[in-house]
Amino acid sequence: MAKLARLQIDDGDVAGAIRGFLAGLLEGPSVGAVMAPRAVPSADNVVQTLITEPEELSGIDVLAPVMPINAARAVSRLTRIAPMDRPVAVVMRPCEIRALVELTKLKQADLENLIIIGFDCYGAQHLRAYAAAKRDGGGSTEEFLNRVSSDLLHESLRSACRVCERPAPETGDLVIGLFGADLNKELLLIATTEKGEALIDGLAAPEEGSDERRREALGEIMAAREKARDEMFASIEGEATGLEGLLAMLAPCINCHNCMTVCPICYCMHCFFDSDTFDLEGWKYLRRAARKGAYRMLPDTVLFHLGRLNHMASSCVACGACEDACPNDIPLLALFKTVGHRVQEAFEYVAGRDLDEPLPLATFREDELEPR
Amino acid sequence: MSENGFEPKIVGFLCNWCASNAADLAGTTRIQYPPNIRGIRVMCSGSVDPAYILKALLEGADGVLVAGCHPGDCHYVSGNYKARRRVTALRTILRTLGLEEDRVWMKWISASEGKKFAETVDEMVRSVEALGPSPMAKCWSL
Repeated sequence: MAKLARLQIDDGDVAGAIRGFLAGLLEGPSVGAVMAPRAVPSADNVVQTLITEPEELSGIDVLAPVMPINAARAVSRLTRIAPMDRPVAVVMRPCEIRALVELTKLKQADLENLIIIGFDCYGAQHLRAYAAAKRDGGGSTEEFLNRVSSDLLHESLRSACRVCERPAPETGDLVIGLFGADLNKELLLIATTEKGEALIDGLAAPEEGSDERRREALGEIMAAREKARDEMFASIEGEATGLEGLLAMLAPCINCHNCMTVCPICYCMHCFFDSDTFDLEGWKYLRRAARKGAYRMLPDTVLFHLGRLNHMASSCVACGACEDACPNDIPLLALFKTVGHRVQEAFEYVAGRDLDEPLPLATFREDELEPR
Repeated sequence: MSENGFEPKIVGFLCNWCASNAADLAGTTRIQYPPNIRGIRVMCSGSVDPAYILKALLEGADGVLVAGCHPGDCHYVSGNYKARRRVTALRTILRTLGLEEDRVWMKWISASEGKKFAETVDEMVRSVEALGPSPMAKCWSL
């Protein structure tokens, strides 16, 4: 049974309650720093920020409904060259934790001395929508939570969030439980490891207990999202796409490679598709043009997307960063999540679910698949 | 050649230690097989990044064969098993998107199996003939 604590919310200030909890951590002996989303000075975006002093927690808005980057990239930058030398608590969305798990398996992050605090995630808005609302004086986190907790597929959510069937953290040390909670009163802190328990031991009245109401609410959210997800799968799969469908989908691609740059799983220092592997002498392009009658310049748009799918679909956590970054609104989330799901299914794998499950393309069994 | 005059182009990624020797053996023992395959010798089936399979398909191949050592026989211990996972992933991607995964084959062919190599090529050519020309092979806007 998990250890729980209740965090009281005063005057509906959810962000303030979480800030208070983080301040307690920084003042205590067990945490040296906190990394969490903090509003930028112009207030229309948040960025992952390392905080060492409690008084710097102003502006920290853990639940701000925007995800400008997948935070796993920030944790990778923090820990890739050497692990942290003191405990750092990082606050992340479930899809960010999943990406971190994959990056750790890919040896691009080190979890030593990291304390992972996840939270129940209702989703986020696109950065452009968030920034616009903020500039108009709206866009508060509380208003967003009110709206999407009653309408789980609200159109203001990013498409990745509307079809997210894993909105609760599955790994990590502590969960900030929002599902099933009355956010005018209190939220739940659920410790899932010893490190997590140490974080809530100092709080008033930790208890042994179950988070049954939360689990029920989570079940409802997952069911609604799975339905939306399956509809999305159907729109992509099989004959629905084909070569013509795929070409139509990728028609606005300008080869900017933004999707690859922001992808938490695409960690290669030098991408295969940015290399000169397929650069040819001019006369060879002419030969190819002669063979097909015409030849697209720049070539390899389809190769880039299919190739990227090949390299990362088995680890895709469906965070949707690719789609957010596309300047021409290609439905990359639908493409990558659908394909990722099928590839992971083929290997009985779920990206980011479990640190101990080996990467599908880095392992094998002798008696599996075809040919035997 | 099929009845409508379609000659499939097959690209074969052939392992240096088995399938490419099998291709040689088929030749030296004068076993006939269709000339539709263009063999590329690679050091291991496990060294074939699926990006190269895709590139072949996008540039005009009607089919791609990856041929490696039988289970347990890999010169590098486990390259063939890893290749099998990569090809499975690629075929899953193609199937999900409706892109004819049956144009990509993986087979185990040992160095002594010249006959099996010839039979495999024959079987694959007939299968790809039945599929018809690859839509990618004629498409300029890829």
